[in-house]
Amino acid sequence: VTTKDLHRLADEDVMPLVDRRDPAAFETLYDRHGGAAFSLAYRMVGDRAKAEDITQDAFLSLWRSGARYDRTRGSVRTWLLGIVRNRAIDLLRHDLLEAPRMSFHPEPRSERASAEYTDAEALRREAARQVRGALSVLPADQMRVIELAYFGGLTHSEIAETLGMPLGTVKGRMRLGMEKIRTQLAEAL
Amino acid sequence: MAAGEHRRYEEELAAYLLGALTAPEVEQYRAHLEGCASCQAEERWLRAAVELLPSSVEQIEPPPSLRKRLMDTVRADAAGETRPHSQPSAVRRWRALLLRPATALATVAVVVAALAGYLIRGDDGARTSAVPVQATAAEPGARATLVRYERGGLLRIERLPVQRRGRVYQVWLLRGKRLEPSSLFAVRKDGSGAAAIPGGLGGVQVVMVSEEPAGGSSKPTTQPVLRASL
Repeated sequence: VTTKDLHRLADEDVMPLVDRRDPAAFETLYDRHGGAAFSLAYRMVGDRAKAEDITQDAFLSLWRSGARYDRTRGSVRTWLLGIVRNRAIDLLRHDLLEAPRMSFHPEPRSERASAEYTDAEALRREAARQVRGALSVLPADQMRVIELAYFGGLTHSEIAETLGMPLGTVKGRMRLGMEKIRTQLAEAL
Repeated sequence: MAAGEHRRYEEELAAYLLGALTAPEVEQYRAHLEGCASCQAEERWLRAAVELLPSSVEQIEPPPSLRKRLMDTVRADAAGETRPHSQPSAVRRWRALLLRPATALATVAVVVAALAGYLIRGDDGARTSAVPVQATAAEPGARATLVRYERGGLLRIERLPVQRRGRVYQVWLLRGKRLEPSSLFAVRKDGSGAAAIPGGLGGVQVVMVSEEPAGGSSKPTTQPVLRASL
């Protein structure tokens, strides 16, 4: 498989090549998702060196345990970012780091996606733009619980304790907030 | 199922997808999902929004050194797995001898000592030498061999304790006064494993191995378990 061929393949078709220990296939996935993985890790732990460690660990896990990926359960990107998130939560719980305040920026960085991959990338950017838009209009109390759960790695009970509110309120705000985001996305996309 | 119980699961769906349930709650939730078509449909619908949350964060370019480090490790891994198949037969024979489970430590020690500095010129002209590897006081039962190539090395682990959860073994190169981090590797359940050391061993005086947190360290955090003087 040539590099050009790899650039045309969807992630899910690149994964079997990673399983067959093809460094170029791994490199393709890193170039596509390394930025997102690093950004998510940095957003969660707020430290570049730790974010690097987490990203490295997640990609090495992809390289060495890629066979555990099940395409029926979601995209490679979601699976990989799930690994990043779990590693970051492990670190947060270990170090008791305080995650920095969530911030939204109007435009994502320019990615160096291959020309052949731009359609998927363009769709992803548009979806990211929409989700940022949906988040930016979310009431602060709903965004706060979503933020603490997803980026802070706290359980709903821990959030209730942290914010000093009943567990039912936390669950309700999470549900309302996520439903608003999803509804806005459905309307926008 | 009682309507009240079903409502409870509906209410917890966002918490489930955001990873905010505890492990036992997740188990319960999954058990409920398996038998509830309406929650399954709702879960598929809401999951799309949760999966887009990582895209909402500020996108930061990772440092080029991370890409290089990863690719060095990956290429070394791939080379370590394929290179033995293309080894010249003389090297294969020596390695087979080295890797055979030792019935008498002394015998292996003599063989390893005899191999130290022994140079083999393969069919492709590559110079290869076997270097003795010593166990340290931290892990006296450890056993490994190091084969040195012109463009790197291959550390063959015969016996090391399986790394603890969330840990890996890391190779270190002492070059001058600098201790450089190198490959990461994991040993199999039987204690065997391999680590390719990329980039040549020119100027390296000592190769060491220590157990480190997953992802590796920039400086060793534990005592070395293996040591080879070049």
